[in-house]
Amino acid sequence: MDYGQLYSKYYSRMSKEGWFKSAVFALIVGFVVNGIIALVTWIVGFDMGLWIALGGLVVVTAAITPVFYFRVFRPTEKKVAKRLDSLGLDERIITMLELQNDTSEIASLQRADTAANVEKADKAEKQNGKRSAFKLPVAAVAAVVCVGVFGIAFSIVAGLSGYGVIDSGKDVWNNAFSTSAEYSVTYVIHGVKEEQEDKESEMTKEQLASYIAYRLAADKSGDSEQETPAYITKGNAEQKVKAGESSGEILYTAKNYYYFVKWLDNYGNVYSYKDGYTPLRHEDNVNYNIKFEAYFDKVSACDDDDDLTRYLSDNHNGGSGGGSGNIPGNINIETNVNDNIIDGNTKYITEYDMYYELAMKYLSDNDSLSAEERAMIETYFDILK
Amino acid sequence: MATEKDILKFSEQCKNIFAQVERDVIGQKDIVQGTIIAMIAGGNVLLEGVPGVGKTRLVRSLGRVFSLPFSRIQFTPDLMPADVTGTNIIVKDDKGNSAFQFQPGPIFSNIILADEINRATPKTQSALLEAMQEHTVTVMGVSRKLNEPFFVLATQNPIEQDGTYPLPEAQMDRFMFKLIVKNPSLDELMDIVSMTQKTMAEVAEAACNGEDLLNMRATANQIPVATDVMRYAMILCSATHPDSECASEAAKKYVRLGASPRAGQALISAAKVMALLKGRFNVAYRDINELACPVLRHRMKMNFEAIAGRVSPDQVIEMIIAELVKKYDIPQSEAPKSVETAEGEQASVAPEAVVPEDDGKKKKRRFAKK
Repeated sequence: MDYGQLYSKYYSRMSKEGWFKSAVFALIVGFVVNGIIALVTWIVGFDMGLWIALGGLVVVTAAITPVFYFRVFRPTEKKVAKRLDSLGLDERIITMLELQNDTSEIASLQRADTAANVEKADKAEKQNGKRSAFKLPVAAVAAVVCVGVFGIAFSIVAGLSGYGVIDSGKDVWNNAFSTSAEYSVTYVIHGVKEEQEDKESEMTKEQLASYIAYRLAADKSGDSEQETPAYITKGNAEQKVKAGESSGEILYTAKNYYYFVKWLDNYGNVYSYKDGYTPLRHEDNVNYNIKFEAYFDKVSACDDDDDLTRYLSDNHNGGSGGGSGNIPGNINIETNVNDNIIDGNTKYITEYDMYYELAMKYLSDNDSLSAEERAMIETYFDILK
Repeated sequence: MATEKDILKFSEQCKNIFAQVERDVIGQKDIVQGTIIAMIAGGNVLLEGVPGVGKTRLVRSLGRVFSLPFSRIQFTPDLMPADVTGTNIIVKDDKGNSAFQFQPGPIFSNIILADEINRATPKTQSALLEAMQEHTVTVMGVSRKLNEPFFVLATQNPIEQDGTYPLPEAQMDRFMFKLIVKNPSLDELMDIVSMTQKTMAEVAEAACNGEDLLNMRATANQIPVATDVMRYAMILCSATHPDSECASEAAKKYVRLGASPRAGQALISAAKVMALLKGRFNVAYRDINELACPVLRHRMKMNFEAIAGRVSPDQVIEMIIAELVKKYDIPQSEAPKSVETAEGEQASVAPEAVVPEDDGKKKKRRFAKK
């Protein structure tokens, strides 16, 4: 192989190497652009961020690769000569290039000497195997890895944000750092369309007795509220809570012949009475909107009081059908019904005297009640004895 | 302009020269080659070695091989400059009139052996300055040209430093090479003793004459040097200066004063000869690297940190070469590694402490180091 052939061979090899290196360096720039686009689209919450970032990577890499090649990595005659000299030619090639226009005898001798040694170098290279031409500096490899991780990572984040899997940067910022973020905590009774009347504050015992009597009268008169299985006796059904704070307490009181079953929130979580949950609750550390539905069941029709007792025991106390044992007479049955007490904690029967006095006082003061209503109230409280 | 015939003649003569010198001087191939390269390139050599290693014998052999007159000057503390250069003496002519007549000194020869040059006073040492650089001698205002080719081979003893006068920088700069003569190896010692037991006579024959040497010099000067190689040689010289734009880290750390421009001239001249000796028609990077130590070691002044850390000039030169090879992506040369360790300067004072290499399979170094 003469010098011309060897030169062509190495020019071709170095040209491929130049394109490879150009592509690698262009990829570094491409990944940087890709990462920046992905980051920005994620922050602003743009849905198509992933595709724009990927497009940027491809376009920038394709556009900058020729720039790197023609400006930096394209092999020149001198570079090829240096590469050939590295085969053990001891700078014969670059000297020959400088003397290419020299017609002196020493220059001719030098060229002849170069040609003779080129053949030896080619044979030696064939024996030693091809040298690896596609070598990259360690720094370039490290840069590709680093920016590649940066670009790919943010592209994934932008994609997930665009498809709603994760929050965008804007949302993350609002959720984490905004001081005015508020969330709504809503309590409703399952099956009831109209919202109950809010109670501004906890009622006094006198007010409570009056409210109970009022409700009993409303039930009897056929008011629409008679279909509501329970009503709020403490707290607000609609609450606005600042991020991280706790909501106010709310208490639902079941009406006659209704009993509390469970809470169910809008994320599918169940808080059952059997697990110890009561109609009284509040939420701590609120960081998202949440809605609770209180489930109340009506006592089913029974043939007799024994059936009723068993029914209530099975469904309300979570125990076996025996419940709390034999309950003689209507009094006990109705007592069990009215164990679904006002605040969920206090045994109503223990507060009987107090409430009875209140009810009696109400009756004595309120002359507007009809005799029937009076009788019902008197009967209601008599049940507790 | 050099012709192919000149090149062929050069090669043949070099072969003969080496062959003849080997008949008289056993071993020391690096020293022999360095000395011959310096002679062909037109430079002078400073040999440093303990007594009895063959310095004088080498010079006498070279004189015989080149068919050149040889004179030896034994430098002593009481040697006067006139004893070297010659002086005017008063002579009476036939008519009885007195007149000055110049009596040439021993320097008026082709090959000068300046033995133990560091024993003479600086004044006497400087008598050689003009001769070494300009090949002229000025006495009483009259300049006289020395015979060409003119070659000074000076020696100094590294162990007996008491009462000596270290050569000044200006004079050190006049030497193309400083070669360190090591003790011969065991095999070489055996050969030396075997040979000298038979005869102490020198048997080398003439291989060429002075005119041939001048032609060889002219031929070697024609060898082309690529611009990149020339630039590398100049960068190497510049890198020895701690405050130059090309200063290397090693120079900044260890060097007080770097090599002069003469070092660059010497490097290129010697590299051309070396390339031709290797059968190449161009100078390569490795020629420069191989000649770096002998050319630069005596031209660099080390600072206190190097002296305290016992870092020798050769070690600094190799550090500089390593930096430049990496920085400029120079192909790795086959430059010999320094055998010096922490001894550095101390090794030069007591070279007999250096254990001679006994393994004949090891590659012979071209130029021995301290």
